[in-house]
Amino acid sequence: MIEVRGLKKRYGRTEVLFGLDFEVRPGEVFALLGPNGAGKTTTLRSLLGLIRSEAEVLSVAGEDPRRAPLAVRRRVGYVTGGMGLYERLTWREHLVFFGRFYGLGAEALEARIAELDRDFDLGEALSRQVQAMSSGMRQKILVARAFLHRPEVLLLDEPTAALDVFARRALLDRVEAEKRAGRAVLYSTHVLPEAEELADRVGFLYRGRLIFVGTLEEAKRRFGARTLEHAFIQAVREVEADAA
Amino acid sequence: MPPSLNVFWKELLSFFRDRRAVLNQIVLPVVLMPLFMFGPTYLVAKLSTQAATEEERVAVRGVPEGLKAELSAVGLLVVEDPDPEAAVREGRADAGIVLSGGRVTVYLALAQGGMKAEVLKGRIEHALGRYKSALVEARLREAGLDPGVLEPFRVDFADVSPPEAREAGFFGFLVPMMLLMFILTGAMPVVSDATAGEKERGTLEVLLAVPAPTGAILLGKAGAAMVAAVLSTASGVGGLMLGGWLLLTRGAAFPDGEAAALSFRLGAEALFASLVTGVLFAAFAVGVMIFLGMLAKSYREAQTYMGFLYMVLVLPAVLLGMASSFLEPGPLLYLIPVAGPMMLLDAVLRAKADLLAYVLAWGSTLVYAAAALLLAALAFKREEVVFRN
Repeated sequence: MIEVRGLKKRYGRTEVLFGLDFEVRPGEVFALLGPNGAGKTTTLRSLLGLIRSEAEVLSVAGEDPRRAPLAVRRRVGYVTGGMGLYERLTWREHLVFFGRFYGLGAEALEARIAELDRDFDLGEALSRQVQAMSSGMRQKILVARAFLHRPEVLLLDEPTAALDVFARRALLDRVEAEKRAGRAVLYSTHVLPEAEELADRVGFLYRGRLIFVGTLEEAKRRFGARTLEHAFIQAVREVEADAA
Repeated sequence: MPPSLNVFWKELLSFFRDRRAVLNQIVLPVVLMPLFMFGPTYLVAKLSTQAATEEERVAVRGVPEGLKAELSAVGLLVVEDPDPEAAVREGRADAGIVLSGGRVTVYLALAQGGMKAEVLKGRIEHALGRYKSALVEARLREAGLDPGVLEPFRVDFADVSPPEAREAGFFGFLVPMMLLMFILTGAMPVVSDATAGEKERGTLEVLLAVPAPTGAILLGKAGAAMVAAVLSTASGVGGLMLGGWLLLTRGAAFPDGEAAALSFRLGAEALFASLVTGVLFAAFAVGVMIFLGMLAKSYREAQTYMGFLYMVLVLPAVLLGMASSFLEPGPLLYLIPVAGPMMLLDAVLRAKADLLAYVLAWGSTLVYAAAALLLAALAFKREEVVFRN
């Protein structure tokens, strides 16, 4: 579903991604782990064709985002870490607004909103403006919006950044369900326990380089660690030691 | 629904739900314009009329009966007083007149009395003028001369401007400037919110991640900003026309002809020309604003850039436009951005616009608008600009 070979990105003279290689298969959650500034968001933006990047292979749902960004975006659901919502629009209006971009007609949209209403327990909140909502409710819209057009691929960039414990739990459960439904999920985060709970495989991204790709067990074994967090820290120490 | 219309719908919905913006951009202009443009003039005229009929006390000494009669004829109460100057200073009289040795001295508290004292001065001057004329006429007759020798000819001024130009009235020269100002101030909040505001909130990245061409998203935003600009302008011009109508129907306080001179009306042709010019200028202004808004990292920064645009580009053009009646603008002046449309509107209101003026001003503004929107589109496509926050 997602195939990346030799992904590079530079801003002027500064190189920020140094030839990343990874893939995300259908029905799999791949966690891209790294501290702030490691290059996670840049990677996701490259996959959506929002920024120009170089790669030997860059494929999302069978399309190259450099050549056919709109075709990729049609098949991808994207959640950003921020609370990117229009304050004066209601939930329903958000869903209608974004649904129209995916070619959903009025009837199909209403049917889909009804489904999302059941799945996300939206209820009366559907007709309330975002500015009157809590951060947890807002995050629900972000996620519902990403699932609106039944995407084959989900790109989730720090999706729990602004969530309280209940909203965070609901989101993780939703991602688990999407995985079971056969979606390919690229989950970018610096919260390692979340990855430990969700991910089938992980990629450690540090200063623009993927320093490890494998399953959770492989990571723990490779770095002799009890947890994923310890494994990540050990991986970074080894890189720093090699560089020294 | 096409993506551009979808974005247009969203932007307008957000705008109309922003009560503060709607109040500032659409409601206040139609309410405040009549007040600002005509209110002070109306108030002063009304008070002057009242003051001109008020019975004010004039203390006199040595004044002949003929002059007293003229002062009474303009509604003043004449009272004899041994010291008219002291009477005015002590507040016993509003004015004092002393005639001594062929010299008339009028005492007034001009610096303290303001406009009311000026009106009183005018009434006294009028009475003195009439008394003087009567004296001169009598003396000429005594000398066997016809008083007509003092007026060898009469002077009449006649305005030959076409009716459309006269309908624009005294404030007509301000209309082009106001029209462009309303377009700028109407578009500014929508553009700031739709560009830098979206970047600041993090919605722009989500919007650009949908399967819609960037150009369509830009068009939707530009269209909504233009609608807001046109509505704001319509509200402002509507306010001006409302004020003009009120002046004509309730302008009894004004002296003869002044209400008509101060009123403001636009004929169908002038309205159409103003609309086309306004829409073209709005497209240009919105393009420039979107470009600036995209460069900004926050809503506040965008407002600063647009304020800068106003100072650098618009004010000089406005000054040039206002001076156009003295400059007798050559055709090339119509090609200057901002100033061109302003001068065209000025020419339209004065019924002086010819075909060449329309072609040059509209054509050049259309080209500038296309260039500005292209610039905005380039800004939208540059990742350094879009993700610069």
